[in-house]
Amino acid sequence: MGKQEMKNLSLVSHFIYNCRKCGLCGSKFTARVPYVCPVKESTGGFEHSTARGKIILAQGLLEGAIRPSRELAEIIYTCTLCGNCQIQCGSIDNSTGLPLVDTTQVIEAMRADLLRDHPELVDQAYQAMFNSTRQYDNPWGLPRTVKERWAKGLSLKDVRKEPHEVLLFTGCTIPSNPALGGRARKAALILQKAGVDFAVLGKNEPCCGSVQKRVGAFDLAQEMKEKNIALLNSLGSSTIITLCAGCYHTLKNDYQAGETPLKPEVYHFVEFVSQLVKKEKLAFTKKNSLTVTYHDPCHLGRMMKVFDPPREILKALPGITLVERAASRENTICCGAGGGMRLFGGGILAEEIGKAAVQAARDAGAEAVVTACPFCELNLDAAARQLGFPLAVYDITDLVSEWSGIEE
Amino acid sequence: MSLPKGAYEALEDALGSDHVCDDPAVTSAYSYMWLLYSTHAQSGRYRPAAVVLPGSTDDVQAIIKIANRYRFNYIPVGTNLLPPTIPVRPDTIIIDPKRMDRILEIDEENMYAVVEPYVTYAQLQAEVMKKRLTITVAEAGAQVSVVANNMFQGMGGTGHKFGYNRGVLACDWVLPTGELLQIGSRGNPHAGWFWGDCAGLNLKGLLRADSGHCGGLGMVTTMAVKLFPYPGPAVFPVKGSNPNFSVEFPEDRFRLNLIKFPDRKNLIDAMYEIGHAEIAAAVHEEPASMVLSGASPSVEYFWERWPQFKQQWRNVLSVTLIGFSSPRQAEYEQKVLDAIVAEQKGEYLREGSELWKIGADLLGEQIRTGLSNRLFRIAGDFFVIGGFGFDSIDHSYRMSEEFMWPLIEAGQKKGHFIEDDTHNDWLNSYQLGQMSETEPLIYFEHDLGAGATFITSYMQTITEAIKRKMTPTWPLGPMMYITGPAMCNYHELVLKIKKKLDPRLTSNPNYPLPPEPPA
Repeated sequence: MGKQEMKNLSLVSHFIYNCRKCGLCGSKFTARVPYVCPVKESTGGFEHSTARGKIILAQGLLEGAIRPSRELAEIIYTCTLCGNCQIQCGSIDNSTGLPLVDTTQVIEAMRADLLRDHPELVDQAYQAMFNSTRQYDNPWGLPRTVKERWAKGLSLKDVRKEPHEVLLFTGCTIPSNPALGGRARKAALILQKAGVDFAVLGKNEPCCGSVQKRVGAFDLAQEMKEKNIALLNSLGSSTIITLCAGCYHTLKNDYQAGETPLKPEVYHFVEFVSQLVKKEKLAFTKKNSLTVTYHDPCHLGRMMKVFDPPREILKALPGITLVERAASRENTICCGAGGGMRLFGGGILAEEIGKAAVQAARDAGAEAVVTACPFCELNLDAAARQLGFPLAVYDITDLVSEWSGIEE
Repeated sequence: MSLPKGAYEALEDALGSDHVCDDPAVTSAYSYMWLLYSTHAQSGRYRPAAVVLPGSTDDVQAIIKIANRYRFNYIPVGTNLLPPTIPVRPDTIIIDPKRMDRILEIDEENMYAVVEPYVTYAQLQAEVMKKRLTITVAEAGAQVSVVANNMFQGMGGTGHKFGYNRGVLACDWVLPTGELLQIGSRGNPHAGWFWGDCAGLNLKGLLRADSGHCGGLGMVTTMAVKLFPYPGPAVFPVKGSNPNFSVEFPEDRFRLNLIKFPDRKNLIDAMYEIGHAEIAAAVHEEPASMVLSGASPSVEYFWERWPQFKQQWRNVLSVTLIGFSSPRQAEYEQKVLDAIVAEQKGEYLREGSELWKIGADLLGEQIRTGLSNRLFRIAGDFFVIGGFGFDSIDHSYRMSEEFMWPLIEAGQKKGHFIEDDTHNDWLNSYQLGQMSETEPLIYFEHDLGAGATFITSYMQTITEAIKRKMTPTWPLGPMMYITGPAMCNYHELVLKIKKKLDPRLTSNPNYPLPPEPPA
């Protein structure tokens, strides 16, 4: 790709040239962080498996020193976009509080340019995902009706027809994956029990565009964003609650940028439920002894700084003992599923990365890992099975539902 | 850029195809340098022919033997910060030890650790701190390789107490022919790793001499390094994250003293007296630009404060006392220091004052982070005017005052260097004042004019240092042809060693020096 083709990478070139190549992103090691890059830990260890190496490759692409290739595409897509490298780099633009080297933006830009100019080099799994999005308005190729099937029998308000305060935005992954145990249903029942006035979009709920953006389909994601903002702003909801961390990050962060931002307040389910608990709108009638650790999803924790609400919920559940892993909160090691990694190469590397997160939970003495993101949950569960020891993986909704005595 | 026919397949046979790669998408990530403009301009220009990832000493031997058989070059790297590891010839591979990242042994009683080449200071220090031990961390930062750094510098914040380049004990060293040489106590049967010397001829000097060989004499695959007592918390007591951090060590054992002297002569005399009294763990003259850069969260912050700060922060010495044996040791050393400070008319910066707060991070730097990326904060990079003057404190000081600062002032008049009239350097006491090193830290304009001024000044300093019989900077590669003739023609001996140990010139061929002087 010549310089003139580097449209997206050119826009983030300042991040590339801010990097001093000191190597902290690869080798930083503190009591809080056993390592920085989950990809580096789980792969052969060539320089490109670190943020520094990827920045150098980005510079080479930008300057025309490297040509796109299948190998380069594979490298660019081998990143969970967890952002731990930026946190451990620690270099911040004081005027904005943002990282001086935003590796995730650089990698997303490389993906975008590659997809646009050399789509033949990109894993076909992503192309299939884009086609699904265009056809079914979700990345998984499932019919739109999966987004309403979970609500059968619950008599939920239709957000387009009935007045309401809150829109429950389930996202694409939770309603469509049977392995996620009726999560959307549980969430709705919890809100009903707490007396929340909410509605749903059902089969009309759009895909937020998070996965598409992370893998570089910028144009598609932008189209989706514009369409979605128009829709969501027209519904009259004052608040949107998301169940998925990726949707949360996208709606709360990405949808606020631009000339027509999203109007309703956006909360993740854990934030909302934490408030319900504080206001005593939810009572926990059950008590079970369980030692758990909380896995901070990157899109919820590191990127959006939501660390305390889930912990407050867990501490409020009778019988729950919360232990922390060595690396938690902004230092959490990624589950491995981010950045499209579960689609990439059959998700093998994603699961390999997840093993470290699961092992860390075990080392902390936890009997179960609790998280607040369907991608984290699926990948951590797959990793735990691979490790072959009994460590349950739950979404926090599962525990809240059970402790509240909610029968499905 | 390619290897001789058959060489790549031979490497794959030896290491497995997962651990060898010649794809430009992979090798390009190794083609950079952090110095000066290199980070901006060199991508792709110095791309190695391939990169190999050995997992063991056997793997390294295999790689080097293959290199000799097929006659291509190799450069062993650590965490890859050192400029001489850039491959300048097309048939050069990089030996990247990322898979060799194990701490093999920590011997608490005898206070040493045995490490592989990709173990970083941070990694090692985190483990040994649990056992109340520590190591001198490189100024490049705790993210760098212990082995590689000890092959080059082996100096850091606590060098006053723990020594300069005194940390290397026994090693496993793969020679440029692929033979394994075990030096130190490893050379004696069943003697283990504990000792850097040995019965019989001591080859440790051959391993690195003053500045190492930059991968020009094979690769050390395992090294025992000396550890030192550490009476602090088992976990490094840090808040925040480098570069914005603070530390809280127990005050009865760890005391950072920031002392301002009326002039530099008093400061130097105080350094000598501290060494004579055999107190303190870290003793450094701290230049204003370096200290403020480290503490500045932004470039704007630095420039707002610089005009006043450089007036306030002059002739400041940092002295860190550590009560290794007990709090009473810290108390005793403080009393001795107080007497020295009084004698030299010094004045302590008041703890909690504005100036103190700016310098308070120095404690964390000395013990853990080194100067590292904090030096880059205001200008993206930095350098030193040259001629570090490895010699006595006084020698370093005189070189600085008589020669380096006039050059700096000349550069400032041209507008090429930061305005700084403090005449303070980063001047360090090592080994209780028995040796010293000085680095006049310079932030410079990023243009060709300033670059030329800098390079010219650098070369002038080297030439002057030679005239004064001082070791100028770290004479690496072709520079030995300048320094050698002034110092007993040591370069001729080095060349003989190179030719003997690396007859086919496969191991980073221009290091420790090129076979011929540059044209």
